[in-house]
Amino acid sequence: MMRKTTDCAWIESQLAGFAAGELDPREVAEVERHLATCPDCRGELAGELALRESLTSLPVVSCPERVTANILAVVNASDRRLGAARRRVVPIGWRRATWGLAAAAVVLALVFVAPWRDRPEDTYVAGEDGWSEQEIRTARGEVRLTLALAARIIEKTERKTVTEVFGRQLRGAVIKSMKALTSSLEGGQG
Amino acid sequence: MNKHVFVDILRYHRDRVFSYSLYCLRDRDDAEDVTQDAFLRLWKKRDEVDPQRVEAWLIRVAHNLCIDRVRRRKTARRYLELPEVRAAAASAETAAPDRGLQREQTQAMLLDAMAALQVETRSVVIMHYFQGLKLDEVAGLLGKKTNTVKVQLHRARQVLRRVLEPGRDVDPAVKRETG
Repeated sequence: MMRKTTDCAWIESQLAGFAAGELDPREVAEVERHLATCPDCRGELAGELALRESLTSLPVVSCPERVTANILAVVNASDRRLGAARRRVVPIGWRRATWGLAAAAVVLALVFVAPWRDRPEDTYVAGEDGWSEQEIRTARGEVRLTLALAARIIEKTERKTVTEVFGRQLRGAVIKSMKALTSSLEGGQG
Repeated sequence: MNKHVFVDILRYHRDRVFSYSLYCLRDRDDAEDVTQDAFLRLWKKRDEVDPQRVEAWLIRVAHNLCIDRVRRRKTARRYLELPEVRAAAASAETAAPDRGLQREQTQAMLLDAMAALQVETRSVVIMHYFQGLKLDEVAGLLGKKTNTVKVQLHRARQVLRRVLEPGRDVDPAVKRETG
């Protein structure tokens, strides 16, 4: 019987790949050449083939239904939470964003037309106190432009942020400002 | 990956993942836990995992979970008998009962013998022979060189061949693996 050589160790480590057909042609040729002269390695190959036959035919064991049920319970709960969160957050966010946008527009309008509140109404007659009709039209155009710009900025802003910034305080502030404006205008007229 | 795709993947791969874990851990409860954890991790990472490569991803996660479990329970190793494995093997071989019975006995002995392998080596054996992964796929999954995988399989074969050929001697390198 041929004694084991250092080649045998390398050949034996190649036998799994050889039996699986995963070696490249050069390696296959080398293994075959060695096997032709080495009974020990042929015995090793027989062992590899027997092992392969036994282990490749191990039965696939069915996963218990309770495992699937547990997984699906977690997945369904997570999916429901996600769906509920989407339904809850997105529409409310949009509503608040819309409200915040409208309120912001009113506030900006109040800010830009603030001089009207501080002066009697008749001071805005064109041609008096340095306010021509052209200047008033220009001022109104500026306000519209600024509002449009503000609206675009807010529209691009994260809805949640808009909600947080404008959602709660602004309604009261706007109402207060409008009351003050009305009172001022009424006072001016009287 | 939406829920429907996930459920399809679960139903298609659950038995393979469970079997891999069962053969690797030889403990049904642990195999159930590993299978459950692997799929829940997949659900968590559903937007990151490529559905085309999901099987390899699942086996790698199951492999890591198995290794964690074996390391944790090393002080109290318990390798239980697996009647359901034998029952499944028997029912699969009803067409050829004699040959089936012989194979079933050999497989049962091999599974017992595999308990002597280190868990990493056992995983490599199951991935290659049972899961049918190519050597370079196993190497890729485990982040090893293909030659390392070949050597691990060679050492595993030295141990497992004692089941197939009881009188066979074991060389010192193999004794290190089982020790």
